[in-house]
Amino acid sequence: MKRITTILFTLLVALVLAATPALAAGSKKVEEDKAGAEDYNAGVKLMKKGEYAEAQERFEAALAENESFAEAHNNLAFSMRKQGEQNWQKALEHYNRAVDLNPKLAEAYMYRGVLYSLMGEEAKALADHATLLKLDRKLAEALQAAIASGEEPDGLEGLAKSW
Amino acid sequence: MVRALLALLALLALVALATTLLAASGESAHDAPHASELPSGFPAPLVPADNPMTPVKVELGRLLFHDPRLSGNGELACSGCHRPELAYTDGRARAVGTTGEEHPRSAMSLANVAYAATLGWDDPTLTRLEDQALVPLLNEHPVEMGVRGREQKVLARLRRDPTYRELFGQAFPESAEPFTLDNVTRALASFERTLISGNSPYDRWAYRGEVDSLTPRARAGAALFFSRRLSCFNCHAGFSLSGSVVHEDAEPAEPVFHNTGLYNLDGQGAYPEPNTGAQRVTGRPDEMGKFRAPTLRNVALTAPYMHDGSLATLEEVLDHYAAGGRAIATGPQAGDGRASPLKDPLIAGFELSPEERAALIAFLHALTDESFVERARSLAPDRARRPEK
Repeated sequence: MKRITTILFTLLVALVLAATPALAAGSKKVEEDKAGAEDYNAGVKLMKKGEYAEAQERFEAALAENESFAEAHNNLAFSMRKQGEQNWQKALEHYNRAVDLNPKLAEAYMYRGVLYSLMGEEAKALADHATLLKLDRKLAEALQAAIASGEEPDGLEGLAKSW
Repeated sequence: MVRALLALLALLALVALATTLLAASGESAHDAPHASELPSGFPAPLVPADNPMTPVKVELGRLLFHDPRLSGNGELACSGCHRPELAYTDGRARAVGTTGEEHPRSAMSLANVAYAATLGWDDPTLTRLEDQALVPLLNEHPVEMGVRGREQKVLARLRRDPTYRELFGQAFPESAEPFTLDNVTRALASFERTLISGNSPYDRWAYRGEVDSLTPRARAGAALFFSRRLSCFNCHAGFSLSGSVVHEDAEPAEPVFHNTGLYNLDGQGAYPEPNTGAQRVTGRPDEMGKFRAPTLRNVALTAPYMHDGSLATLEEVLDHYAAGGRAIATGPQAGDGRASPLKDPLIAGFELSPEERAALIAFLHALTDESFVERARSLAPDRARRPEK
């Protein structure tokens, strides 16, 4: 009996412990304290104005401070891609790093899918679409239209938000 | 120690109970088609908490759907106007009821109807399949299934069949008298929620990454369909290629209706009575001529097109949208729909070369799900044939 009780208590404690970091990760406080956030936010502002070279510098600065900043990799990739085809391969590496760091970062699949489509890698673009469907259906539909039409999605809604 | 164990078990039981209660509050996917049974990329449809799906209820709904005994005079099944081989449409411009009366609108496809935010062509208030089923059963203007006033006769007819006696009892074990019209509509709705179509060449391309499943011409058509220039996908959107949808993990959808400039009788955008669109239901003048964007799945099988079947072919539909509306030169429906003040701004017209037109047509044909139609045929019992009139 004692053994069963111990097992049940252990399970309960494990459940509580498992839930705690998940709750914390969803809270805003952690995000505001993120290392590199200042450069990152400045980069987002520049990127939204279409100043991609300047935005690139700020995202690189954010990553110099915090290499595991998935959103910074994502937006660096976007800023690099928008500066020309010569940057596509490097941009792809940053998208890959972004999803390695955060496999649930929908925006990275969205714009990696767009990049794959531009590169003529339709199967890989559609694979990102399939992943995105499980994370964010609206973004996935925008990606699918972009893959089908070959047109850039409207606006910057596919990019990771600033905080 | 035993007391502690009991306390822990009580806590776990409470958690389980709370979870169950939360799941039961409102719509749920309980007993809906499981994710593993859904096509890739499809969300779980919603199922009303007061009509959970069970295999026996779906089976009962299948038999009722194909059974002409469900009509007032015993001559017309639901499947008479929603024919399985035509993706559950009837090939007519306007549906014909069991007494021969013509309906003002055409029978809509039931493919993926489980996801439709509203049902019918023009009714923003009709949102449950259980409620929708009552419309054709009871409508008198015109008569569709002709059940009004003969409800008990129809139910008695069903009760005489031993298969129905068994299935109604099993499907509605809580009912002392399971043969009711409400239970008929619950079973019909449960069956309709299983009519999921998601295995067309387009689906294999979009949702399974089979890049070669679309022919080069159909792929070129997809590029046009999803382009800003044509903007077809703005109204025929998402996995359902239709207007607003509802499903698990989605915010409640605002129903959207469109005036496509099909008519303009008076220069103010009037449509011929009684097909005045959502205005017919809401009375709002600005909703004149607004209809739901139907699913384009299996659209090559569902001619003729539009709410009144007034466009015979897919080519005519493309010409209508390319022109930004329809101009009718003479007759009682004369008027220039292109100039309608009520026309949706998205219907702005576009140029389409002959090659592009052929590509779009090829894409629309790539929305045909042969396996869906095959399954639909197999679901129809032998006796489900529309009697010749």
